[in-house]
Amino acid sequence: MTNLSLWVLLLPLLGFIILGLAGRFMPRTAILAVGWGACGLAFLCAAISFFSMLATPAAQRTSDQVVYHWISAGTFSLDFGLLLDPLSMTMLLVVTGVGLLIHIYSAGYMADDPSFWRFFAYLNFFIFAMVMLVIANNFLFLLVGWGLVGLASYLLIGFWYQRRSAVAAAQKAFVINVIGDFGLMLAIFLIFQGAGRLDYAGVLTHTFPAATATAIALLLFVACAAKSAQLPLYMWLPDAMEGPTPVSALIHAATMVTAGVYLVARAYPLFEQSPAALAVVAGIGGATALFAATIALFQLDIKRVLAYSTISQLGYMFMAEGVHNYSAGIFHLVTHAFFKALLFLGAGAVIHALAGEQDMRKMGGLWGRLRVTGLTFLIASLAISGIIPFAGFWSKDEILGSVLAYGNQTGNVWYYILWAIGILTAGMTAFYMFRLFFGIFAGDYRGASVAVNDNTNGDVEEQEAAAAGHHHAGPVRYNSIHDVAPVMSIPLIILAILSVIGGFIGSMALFGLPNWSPLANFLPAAMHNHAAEGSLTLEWISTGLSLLAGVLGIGMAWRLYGKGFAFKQNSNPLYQLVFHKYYVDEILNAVLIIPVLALSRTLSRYLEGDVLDGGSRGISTLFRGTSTFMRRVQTGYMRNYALGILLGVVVIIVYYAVRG
Amino acid sequence: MTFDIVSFIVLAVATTATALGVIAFKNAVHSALSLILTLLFLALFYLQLQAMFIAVVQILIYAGAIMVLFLFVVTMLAPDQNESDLKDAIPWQRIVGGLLGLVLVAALSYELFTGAQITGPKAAAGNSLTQAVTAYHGDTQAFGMALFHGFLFPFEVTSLLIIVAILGALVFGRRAN
Amino acid sequence: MPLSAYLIMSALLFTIGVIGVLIRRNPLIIFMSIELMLNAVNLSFVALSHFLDSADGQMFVFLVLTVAAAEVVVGLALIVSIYRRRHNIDVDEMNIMRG
Repeated sequence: MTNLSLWVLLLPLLGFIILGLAGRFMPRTAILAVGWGACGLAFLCAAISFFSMLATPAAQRTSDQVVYHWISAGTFSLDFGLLLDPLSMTMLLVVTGVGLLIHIYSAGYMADDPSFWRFFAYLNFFIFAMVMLVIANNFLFLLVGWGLVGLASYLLIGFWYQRRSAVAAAQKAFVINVIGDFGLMLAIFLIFQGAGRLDYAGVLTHTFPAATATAIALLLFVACAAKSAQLPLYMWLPDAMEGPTPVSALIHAATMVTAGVYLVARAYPLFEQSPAALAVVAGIGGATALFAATIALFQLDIKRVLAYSTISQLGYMFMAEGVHNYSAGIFHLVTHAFFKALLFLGAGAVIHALAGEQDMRKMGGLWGRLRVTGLTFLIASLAISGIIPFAGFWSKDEILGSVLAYGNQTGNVWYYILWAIGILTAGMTAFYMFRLFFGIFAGDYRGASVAVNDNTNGDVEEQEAAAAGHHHAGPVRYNSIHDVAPVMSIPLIILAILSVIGGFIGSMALFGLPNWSPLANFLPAAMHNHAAEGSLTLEWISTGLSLLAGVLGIGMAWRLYGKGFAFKQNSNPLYQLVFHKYYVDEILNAVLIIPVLALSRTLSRYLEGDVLDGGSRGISTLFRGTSTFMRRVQTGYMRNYALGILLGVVVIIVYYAVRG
Repeated sequence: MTFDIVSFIVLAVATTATALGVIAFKNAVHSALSLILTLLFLALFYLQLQAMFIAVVQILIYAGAIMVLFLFVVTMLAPDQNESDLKDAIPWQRIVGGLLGLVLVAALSYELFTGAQITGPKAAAGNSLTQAVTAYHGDTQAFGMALFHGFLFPFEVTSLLIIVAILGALVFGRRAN
Repeated sequence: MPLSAYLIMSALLFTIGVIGVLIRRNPLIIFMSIELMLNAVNLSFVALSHFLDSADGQMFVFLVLTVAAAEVVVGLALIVSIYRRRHNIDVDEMNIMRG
C-alpha cells in the first residue's frame, strides 16, 4: 500500500512556513502557487494513498508508521507516528479535498484583502494542524493537533483583527476550546494511568475499569463538545462567524468542528466500554440538534443561521455515535462537509456580491442576478433538508433509522424521544434553510429601499460588516450586482455535484441494494456492527417521516416566505426567547462575565492597586531608603574604604581576643 | 638588665618614634628620611635576631635602593606641596582611624601576651638546610644553599614578577601618545 | 627577650602604618606607610624564624623584599603618571568612583 500520509502532513506545513516567512514579499500569483500547491499536492497524496488503500485487502489497510522515536523512558516510549487507516483516510480526503476547494475559492473572496498572504499562510497552517489531529497514532499528538487547530481557528476568526468584535469572538472561541483541551488532557492522564501507554494500538485494545472508562469517555466528550460546539460549549461557534466566510466554511462548518465526531469514532472502543457515556453523547447530540435548530429559525444574519445549522447537524452526528453507529456519524460528517461548505461559500458569494451585507432583511430577489450561486445554494439547501436523492437525505436517514432501531432493540423510551427530536429537527432544518433561501433569492430586492430599524436585533452586524477589505459600503444597486467570478463559482459547482451524489457512498439497503455501502464497508466493520439492526419496516417509517418533515418544512417556508422575506416584529414571548437565542449570551453575561468583571475591577483597584502596587512601591521605597543610606558609605575616598578594611580586621582580632 | 634587654628597649623606642615620624611629618621629604631611619633600626633588630643576611639586604635594598627611588619621586613632585593647605574632606577619619588603631594594638598585644608562648627552638620545624641557616647565624652561604634548594621556584617567580613590574612602570611612565 | 616582645613591636609598627594610610592624603606617604606595614610583618617573620630555629621565615622576608620593590616601582610610576595628568596627587581628589 502506498502511504503518502507523511507528505499530506508536511506539505501544508511547508506551505505555511514559506508563506509565513516570505509571503509578505511575494506577488499574489506566487502566494496562490504556494498556498494552492501545498494543499493541492496534499490532496493528491491523500488521493493516491486512498486508491492504493482501495486496492489493498481490507485486513491490511491499517498502516501504523513510526516517523520518529520521541521519548523512551523505561517501559514507556512515545513515538511520533502516523496511523493511516480507513477512518483517518476518510478524514484526510475530506480535510484536504474540501480544503483545496476553499483555498481556490478564497483567491476570489479575499482578492482585495491587504493581508492576502497571511490568510493563505493561516489556511495552510490549519490544514497542517487538522491533518496532524487526524493522522496521529497516539493521544499525545492528537492533543497537539487538537491545540493547533484551536490556534488556527483563533487566528482565522480574528483575522480582521482591526475589528473589536472579531478579536472578542476569537478570544471567546479560544477560551472555550481550551476548556475542551483541558478535558482532553485529563482524559489522557487517566488513559496513561490506566493503560500505561498512549498509542491508539495499545490504548484502544485495553480494558479499563468501568468507572475509569466512563470518566475517560466523558472527559473525551468534553473535548469533543468544545471542539464540535455541542451543548453547553457551543457559544463560540456563532461568534466565530466574525472570520472571513471561507474560514467559516472550512473550519467552522466542514472540517475542524467535526474533530469531535472524529475523536468519538476514533476512540469508540473506549466509549463502548461505557454505556453511560454513550447515552450522554446521544443525549447531548439530540438536545443540541433541537436547541440550535430552534435558534436558527429566526436569525437574520445569514451566516448565523448557517452557524446554528452547523451546530444542529453536528448534534445529529453525535446522536448516531451515541447509538453505536459510528460509521453513520462519519457518513453524515462527510456529506455535511460537502453541503455545509457549499452553503457557506454560497453565503460568502452573496455577501461578496452585496459588498459585505449579511443581513437577510436587505437581500431578496437575487435569483435573477446570482444564478450560479442561487442554483448551488438551492442544491445545498435541499441536501441539508434531507430531500431525496441529495446527500443529506442518505446520511440523515441512516442516523434516524439507527436511532429508532436502537430504541426498538433496547426498548428504552428515551431513544424513541431522541428519534422524534431528530424528525422534528429535520423539519425545522428544512424550514429555516428555505426561509434563508427564499429570504436571499426570492421576492424583490430590499437592499436599497428598506430602512432597517436598527434596534430590532441587538447583534445584527451593521457595524461588524465594516471589515478590512470588506467595507460595507452601503446598499448595492440591484442592477450592479454580479455573480461571482469562475475562481469562486467552480468550487461552488464541484461542491454542488458532491452534494448531489455524495450520499450514494452510504447504505442503499432500503432500496434493494443490500450489499451496496461503500463507506460503511470501507470503514472498520467494528465501527458499525454494534449498531442495532432494525427491520425494514422501521427503516421505512423513519425514512418516510423524515422525508415528510423535510417537505413540510419546505412547504411552510414557501407559504411564509415564498413571495419574499418580510421581517415582522413579534411580541410573542416564546418567539422573543428563541429570537434572542434563549438569552444565553445575556445570561452568561449576567451570571459569569459581570461578576467576574466586577471582581476583577475590585481586585484591580484594591489588590492590584493597594496591595501589590503598594507592596512593590513599598519595596522600592525600602530599597531607595537603604541605598540612600548605604550610598553614603561610598564616599569615593580611597582611604575611607581602607578604614572599612581596618574595621573588619579589628572586629576579627577582637573576636579572637575575647574568645580567648 | 642585660645588654639584650637594654638594646631591645632602645631600639624599640627609636623605631616607634621614627615610624610615628613617617606618618606625622607634613613634608614628604621628612617622612622619607624618617622612614630610612626606621628601616635602619629594623636592620639592627634583624642583627639582634641573628639574621645577618636579611639585615644587610634590608640596608642595601630598602634603605639604599627603594628609599632613593622614593626620595627621587618626592623631590620631583612638588616637594613643598603641603597637605594641610587643603581642607580634610573627612576629618572624622582621623579620630576613628586612630581609635581603631589603638584597639588593634591592644587586642593584638593582649592576644600575644596571653596566647601560647614559644620559648625554645622547635627542631621539628623546617628542614636541615634552613636549620643550617640559623645554626650559622644567618650565614650567607647557608642562606644561599637554602634559597636555591628549597625555594628555587618562588625565587624564579619573583624574578618574573620584577620583570612584569619593570614593564608596568615603563608603560605608566610613557607620555600619553 | 621573649618572642612576644618582638611580635608586639611588629604589631605596633603595623598599626602605625595602618593609621598612616588612613589619615594621610599624600600618596607618597601612604606608600611609605605601606612599606612600614610590610616591614612590620618582616620583623615578625624574622623573629619567628629565630625562635623556631628555622630559616623559612627569612626566605619569606627575602621574597617580601622583592615584592615590595616591585610594588614601589609600579606604584611610583602610577603616581607620576597621575601627577602628569592632574598636577595634583591628593588621593581625596581621585574620587570618580564615588557612588
